[in-house]
Amino acid sequence: MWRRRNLPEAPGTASPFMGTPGIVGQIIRDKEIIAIGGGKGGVGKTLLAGNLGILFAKMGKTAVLIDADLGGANLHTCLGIPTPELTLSDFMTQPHLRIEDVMLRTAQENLFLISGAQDILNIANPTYNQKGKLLRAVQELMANYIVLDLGAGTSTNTLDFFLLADKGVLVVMPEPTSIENAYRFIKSAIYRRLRSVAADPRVRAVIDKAMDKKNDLGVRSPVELVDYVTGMDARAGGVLKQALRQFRPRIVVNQVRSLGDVRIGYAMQSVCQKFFGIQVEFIGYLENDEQIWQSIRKRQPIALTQDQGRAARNLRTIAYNLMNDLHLKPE
Amino acid sequence: MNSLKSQNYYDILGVGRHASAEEIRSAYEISRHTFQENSLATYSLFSDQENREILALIAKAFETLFNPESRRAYDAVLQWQEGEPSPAAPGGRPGVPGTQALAPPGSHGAQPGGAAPQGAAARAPPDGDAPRRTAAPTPGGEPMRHENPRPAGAAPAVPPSPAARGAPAPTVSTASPGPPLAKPAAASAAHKPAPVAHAPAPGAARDELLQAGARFDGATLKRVRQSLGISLEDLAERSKIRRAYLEYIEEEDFQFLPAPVYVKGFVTLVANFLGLPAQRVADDYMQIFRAKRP
Repeated sequence: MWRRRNLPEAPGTASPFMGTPGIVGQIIRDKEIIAIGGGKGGVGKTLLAGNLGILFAKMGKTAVLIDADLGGANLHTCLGIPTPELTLSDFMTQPHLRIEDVMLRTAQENLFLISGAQDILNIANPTYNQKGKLLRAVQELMANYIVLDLGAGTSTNTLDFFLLADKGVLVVMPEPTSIENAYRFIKSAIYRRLRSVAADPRVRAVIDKAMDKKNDLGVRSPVELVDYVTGMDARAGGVLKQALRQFRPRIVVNQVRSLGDVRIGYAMQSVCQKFFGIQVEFIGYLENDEQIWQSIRKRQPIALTQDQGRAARNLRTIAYNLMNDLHLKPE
Repeated sequence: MNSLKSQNYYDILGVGRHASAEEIRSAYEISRHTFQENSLATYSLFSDQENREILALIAKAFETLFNPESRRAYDAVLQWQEGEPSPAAPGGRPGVPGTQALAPPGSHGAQPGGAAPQGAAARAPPDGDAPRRTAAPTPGGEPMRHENPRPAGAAPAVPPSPAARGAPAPTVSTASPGPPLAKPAAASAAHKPAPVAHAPAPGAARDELLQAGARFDGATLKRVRQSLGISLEDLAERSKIRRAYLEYIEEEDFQFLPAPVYVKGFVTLVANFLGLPAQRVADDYMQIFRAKRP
């Protein structure tokens, strides 16, 4: 819970006070955890996370950005906040620190930042307890939106944060390596989710086996896996099927240069449905725009400084679709 | 790609059941782009070969759904499969082999070929089916409702399995997971016309029959299917028509088949799967159907 403290309110200074009268001590009911992942580095996750946070905050919602890229923290840079004193790694490794202690104000009202770890050697592989502390804190945080900027790759930590979220977003670029990584991420996330809901150790063993494409069960996709498990035990299969149905990642295509690039979003929807048996939702795209590049270089997020322009429009569309559970429809 | 096998054409195209022709066309365009050769979106998941297979399937889905008539037939089949629960039976299509136990205590099974007592007809549940059937513009459509032991009308019991067909007494079979697949050999033999020389190439027998202007009765359909090396299970799985119905169609056990509009839909689908001209096959078959089914 939040406690008032008398601290200077310059950006980049830790202050547990939410800043909005009435929020302190209030249970926030409409809270959403949003995770931004993508598998590949450099696709625009941090860019999207930062700008989304700002857009939510501008709408009057309390938003907390968390740089969960353990080992590759960039969110503060994107937002133009100097390298912070206390970070997520401090929170995880020092038991006496509470989550409020590492939370920073930003130049945007209602927006707070928990910066990522600076010490690469230490925290990229947290212990079970450290990770647990963070997961619990995220779940208990009182804010309207919690936006997790996940790192690249498919480490179990990254996957767990993605699966913890109410809404997961994958950022891809219209080129093969990014798409390959995105599918790899989806596959890993699915299997990790299935594994976590499977109570029977035999079923878990089957899931582990199925992760390898060349397994001897003849299972080549999550759908085939569910069928296989249903053959073993109908109830267990039902549980897996339900988990698959509830897995609904969103997709954002970044660096769009043409209509064909936009179509990638729809295409991925179709492919995921056929291969993974899951429903992914194409919620928007970011056009390749000089403004974006400039904003990163100057460390001034688009959403903070611009209202006009393609980039701002694109971002607003994404935020809107995300908040309202909508997705793009082909014309 | 198991998921593909269990998807209907709407799912394959990614459209809703009530999609307009324009939406269907648009979905088809997207799919064509998605599964094109060297597609970016399928990279690392589907090979080019798989892309081609999927495209073929999607093309088929599009053809069926874009044409209003074939779409209607397909919709009819889908609806039948999904079954609207009638007041007489919990869930599933009453009387459909393979659905759960339906008979309340004391009811009797349908008599093969016999006229159901008027009582049964009177008990015919007023489900959504009835109006449709009376609207069916077939000769003798009206009388069929009363005289035929239509599965739903003949009390909520599973119609006797084909194996029991020859038995004089009505059988009460409940909760059978599916009709026994073995059929009396005599029955099938009776339907078989003079055997055609087994053609070496799968499509050859079919083409021969087409050339010869053969009439497409049940036995002919069966012959084509067999010559293509497709088992009944296979066809049932791919067409989503229950295996039992496929058998009834091939053996011309009309009394166990539902209303003509459904039968026509099934036959059309089967013809498509077998690579036969659907219109011609349906016409031939329905002629026989109407003539035989009292």
